[in-house]
Amino acid sequence: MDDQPAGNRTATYLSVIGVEILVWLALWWLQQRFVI
Amino acid sequence: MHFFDWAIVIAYIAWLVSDGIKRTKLERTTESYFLANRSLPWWAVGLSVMATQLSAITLVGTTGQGYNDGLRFVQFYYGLPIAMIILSVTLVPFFYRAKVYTAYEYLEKRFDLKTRAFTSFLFLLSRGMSCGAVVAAPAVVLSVILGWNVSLTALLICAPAVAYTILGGVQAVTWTDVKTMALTVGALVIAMIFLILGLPGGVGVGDALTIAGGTGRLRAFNFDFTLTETYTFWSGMLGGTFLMLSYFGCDQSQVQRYLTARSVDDGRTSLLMSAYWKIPLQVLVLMVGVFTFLFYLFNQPPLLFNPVHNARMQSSVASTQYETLRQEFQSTFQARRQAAVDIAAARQSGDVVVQARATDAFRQQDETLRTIRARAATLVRETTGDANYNDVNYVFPTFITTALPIGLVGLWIAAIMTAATDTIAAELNSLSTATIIDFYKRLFRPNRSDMHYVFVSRVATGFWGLFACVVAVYASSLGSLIEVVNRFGSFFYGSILGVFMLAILTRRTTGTGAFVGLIAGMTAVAVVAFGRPEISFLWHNVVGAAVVFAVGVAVSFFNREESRGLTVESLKSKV
Repeated sequence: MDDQPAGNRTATYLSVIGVEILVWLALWWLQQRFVI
Repeated sequence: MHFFDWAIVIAYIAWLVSDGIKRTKLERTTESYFLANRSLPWWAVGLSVMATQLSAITLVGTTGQGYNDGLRFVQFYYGLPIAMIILSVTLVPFFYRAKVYTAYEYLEKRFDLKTRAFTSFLFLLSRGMSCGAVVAAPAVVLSVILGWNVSLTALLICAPAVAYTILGGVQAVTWTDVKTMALTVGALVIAMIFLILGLPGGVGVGDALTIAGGTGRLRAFNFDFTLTETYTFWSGMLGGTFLMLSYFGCDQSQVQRYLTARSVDDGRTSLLMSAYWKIPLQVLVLMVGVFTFLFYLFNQPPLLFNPVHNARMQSSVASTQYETLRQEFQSTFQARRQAAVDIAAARQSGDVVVQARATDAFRQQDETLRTIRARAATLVRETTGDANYNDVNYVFPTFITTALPIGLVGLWIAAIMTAATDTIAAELNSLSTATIIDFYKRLFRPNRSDMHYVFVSRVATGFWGLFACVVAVYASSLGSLIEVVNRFGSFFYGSILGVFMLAILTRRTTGTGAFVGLIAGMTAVAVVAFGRPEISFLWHNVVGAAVVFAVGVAVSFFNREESRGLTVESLKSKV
């Protein structure tokens, strides 16, 4: 039933965390860049 | 509303219903009616998961939150990607292997019938109530903005959902979600482009963001650890993770979406789609709200965004006071507008001193404007007796109906109405599934034909549709709608998650232990909610789950029932 190898799944989960960190960095930049 | 906008709304709703009805012929068995024979592609399921969560409340309430408070609300979703990963590793493969129709079926395999029936009952109660709030949000706002009758508006939102869900089952629900998700994202992008293009000459996007930043509206992180502030980084990461685990893992309205996927991997991928896209989408919705604030920074907004209250105040005994406030509001608006233009000009010329002076003036005028609006709101509460008066949900609909061109108004009204329609369709479908599978088939009529169960499922869908409309009228009198929905859920969500945690993570917990733990968890949440109302509702999920887990383990320690042991370790070999 698990078509995908476990290693691929781990990589997918890590990419989810990576995307969340990138979004956080973008929001942090927005918060810092445009504070006057 | 213009004839052309009406035509767009009616044509779109008619298309949704007719497409749903076309799928009627496919639905002859309970597995096809409830789970589409577990045959849907991951991307359709993923969009359905996102569309079910993105209701009209998101479009109306969240844009209003963006207008008032900026990006602050996005912190609510920070735990979502982590919750999705945890669910992909744990509950998703569990449900697939156990071949269940409802999440609560698994609890009988693991514990006993009473635990299954009670959690399913809690789901029916909380989701049935929130279903009403989901209808109430757009019904109240659209009825006020467009001058429609509120009950008829609620019916106009409910009726298509009931019709295509009764006839087309989960297939109709999923494919409608796909269409509506495309419409909603398209409408958001178009609104954003329109708002950016609508900035006055001499004010660029960078200037606009600087002005918004000056009011604190670009603040997406609050690292203060406080239990009383609803949206902080920590409440999102801890309380939010527990809420999302419970919502996506233990709530049938979401579980049923990914149970329709072709395989366990497709189910996982469909959930992870939200993990990737939910926060960026939420940022887009909030940024539309922030840019609506910028729009009304340069274009005169009404003092009250709710036109009914505006008219009532003008003809009330307090009309003179109201008029004075309105004039004060207009002159302060002009002063704030000028200060904003000065900031943009100083920023472009690179004059730091002038920019700092203009910023001070802007902040002062902005604060004055906030105070005037707060005084107007107090006056409305005192004059009309409406103690919950708040016009946050009317900001964006006012922008849509007064600022957008013909065609886009219809597109947006259709998006708001069908965002509500497809959310309640998914909820009606799951309410019907839990009613029939967990109660009717399990307890009352166990050995009937599949055709019989499909028929009674359609009756159950109709019943829940009617229930949702009745609750919608009641919910319309409660305060900020987005919190109403989350409040209904947070009374049960954490506790139900605690039961699933006991089921999966512990081997020795018994049915009685889980049941007693569930009661203790809900009692603890009630004590916290009523005893310490200042504690943010997001923390209720953590309290509920923790108490259920602790009490469940403790009671099972003294209880000598035999454990069935369908846990993380043993499920593979026993199912």
